[in-house]
Amino acid sequence: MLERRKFLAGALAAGLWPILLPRPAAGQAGAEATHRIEIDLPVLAEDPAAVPLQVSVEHPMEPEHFIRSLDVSLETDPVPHKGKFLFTPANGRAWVVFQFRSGIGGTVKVVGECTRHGRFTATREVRVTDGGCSTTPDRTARERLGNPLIRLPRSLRPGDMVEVRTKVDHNSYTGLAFRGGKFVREQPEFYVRQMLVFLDDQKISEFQMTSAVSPNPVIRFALKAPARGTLRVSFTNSEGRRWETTQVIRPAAS
Amino acid sequence: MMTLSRREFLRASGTGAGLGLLATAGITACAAPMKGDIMPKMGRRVVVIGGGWGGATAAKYVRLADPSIEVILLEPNKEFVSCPFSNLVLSGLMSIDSMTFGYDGLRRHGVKVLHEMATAIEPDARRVRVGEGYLQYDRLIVSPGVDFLWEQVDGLSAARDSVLHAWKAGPQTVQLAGQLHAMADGGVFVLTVPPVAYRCPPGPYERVCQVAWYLKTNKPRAKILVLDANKNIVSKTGLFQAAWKAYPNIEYRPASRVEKIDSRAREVTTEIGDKVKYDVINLIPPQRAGTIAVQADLVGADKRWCEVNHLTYESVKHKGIHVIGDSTTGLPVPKSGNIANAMGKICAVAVVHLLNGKEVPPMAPGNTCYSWVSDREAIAVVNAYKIENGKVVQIEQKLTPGASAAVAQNSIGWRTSIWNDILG
Repeated sequence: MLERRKFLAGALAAGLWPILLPRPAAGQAGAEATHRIEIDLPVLAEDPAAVPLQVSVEHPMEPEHFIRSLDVSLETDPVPHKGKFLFTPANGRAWVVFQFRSGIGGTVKVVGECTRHGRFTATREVRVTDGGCSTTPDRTARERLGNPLIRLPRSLRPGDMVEVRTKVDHNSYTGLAFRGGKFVREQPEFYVRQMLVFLDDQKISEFQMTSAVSPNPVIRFALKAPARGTLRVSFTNSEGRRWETTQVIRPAAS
Repeated sequence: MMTLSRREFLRASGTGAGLGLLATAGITACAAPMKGDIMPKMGRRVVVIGGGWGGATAAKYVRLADPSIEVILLEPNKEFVSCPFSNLVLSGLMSIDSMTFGYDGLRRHGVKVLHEMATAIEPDARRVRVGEGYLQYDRLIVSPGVDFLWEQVDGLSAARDSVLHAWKAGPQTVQLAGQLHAMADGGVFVLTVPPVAYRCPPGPYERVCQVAWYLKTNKPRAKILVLDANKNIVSKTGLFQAAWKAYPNIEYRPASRVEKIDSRAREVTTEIGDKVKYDVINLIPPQRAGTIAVQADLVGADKRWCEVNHLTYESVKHKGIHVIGDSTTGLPVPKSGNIANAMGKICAVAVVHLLNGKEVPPMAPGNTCYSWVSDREAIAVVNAYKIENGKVVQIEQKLTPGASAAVAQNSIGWRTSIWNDILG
């Protein structure tokens, strides 16, 4: 861990954002230890509408053996399912950062699926507090929608593991309200339902969100840099409306 | 192994341990040889650390409740400068002097005000380290406000002297006002909002209103660009959105946490990689409880805020030590001056009851918070609370229907009354 931190700090200091990620250990197929899900959550999350989560699995991402998906839920929430994140070997790593809504927190459960070894699970507790000044979510705001963004390094060496950051402006509400001791649906949900990632014509990632995704999500994931290509990110909301943005990947100057 | 180290991730998520910022609690690595008791304790004594909205109130109210108890207040600053209303110094509507007060009022109540810094707390010995000496206490009330997590923004620690937060009212407020007033017409004022939780949730947005009003009136070609780490305006959301319609010079970007500052290039970089140039920067850093609370291990596992008993404000970690104000967490209340003042009174009464061997009556705080959206209109939120099963619970929250001059007038009455309550 310390080694990684130094590595990352060094990369930032040199102005080489975004992060170049170390490659995962190869040749560990079949080892139990590599089906360990690392879940990072704050001890005490302070924005119930945007609990930040990092999930990753240190595991090969080879064509015949890779982590196919990570599925996140919090059973005691009114919208328990937070998202399912599907990966391919082109990601280079099963890793995602995003933000979700949780009124009071609880046990976050992540179910991973390995193409060879099946499912495995990990849990982590999170507490959520509310600042007390916050007002209830604005159910009607639709002013800022879209402006999708991708950020990744300007020039990459093929095989580099990089962090891709994406963002879209979009409100998010569950449509549920707490009435008479339980949650009832007051209006339709409105949220970013899906993010698809393509490298040229190939779909390399599929992130399925729920109405528990935070407003204006910032989503990070890994990409094993190709020699060249076009990265395309496509967001679709719960009403079927879509926004896309692309980034051309150029070969590094030799 | 993490893709982002845990430290990097927590920093990116705006929470986080400030690893390496402070050594573990209770160490004496920096201890000078002790000279001894600087004020030997004769009878029962309450020491209060911090002479702000919480601490000054608590000190006064212990004396009011039981004058047989000695109260010593430790506050390094010789004057009290009010953070509430300080945003109006930026717009030029008020002077810093008009919200600056001395501590003689507390002295008239018999509070012993020492303009010294508490450097450490020794809970087992029931004493506070002050310089080379110490003060014994029977009960300790800690109200240290907030301190800044400088290392969560790359380049900020090195640029602390020139990159202003003006989030503790005083010289920085005046300095930032000067920078704003000297900015060229056509310039860009960048204000960054840290991720929750931070002191005064509506504060940054009131500041945006005051700066925007000033620019609209005096520098019509200038603009203010707001980079908010949060997903939306945190407090009085609809009311601020409505108020901002009067200021086309505001550009608001949510989900845009600032990750890096280059003060020589006069540029900040957001988490998504946007580079933003500024003529004047007001970077409000992420926050945690005041340093003494971290040193004394009053904070939780993430080393940010202190959990307390909801009736007495006694720390859940150390008996005999009470924590009030911005440094606390776990109550459904905002980090406001009004709440700190309410906690100060409740805690004072609780401490006096405890010292007198009496049962502490359940007392809930209340909150009223005003935000000035122009030179003459304000909005407000009121929170009502009760005690239920030993916990503070919100009964309701009400917002003013819109901005009005009447609410602004109310706020003037409020400030006169509460400043007198704290220091008069």
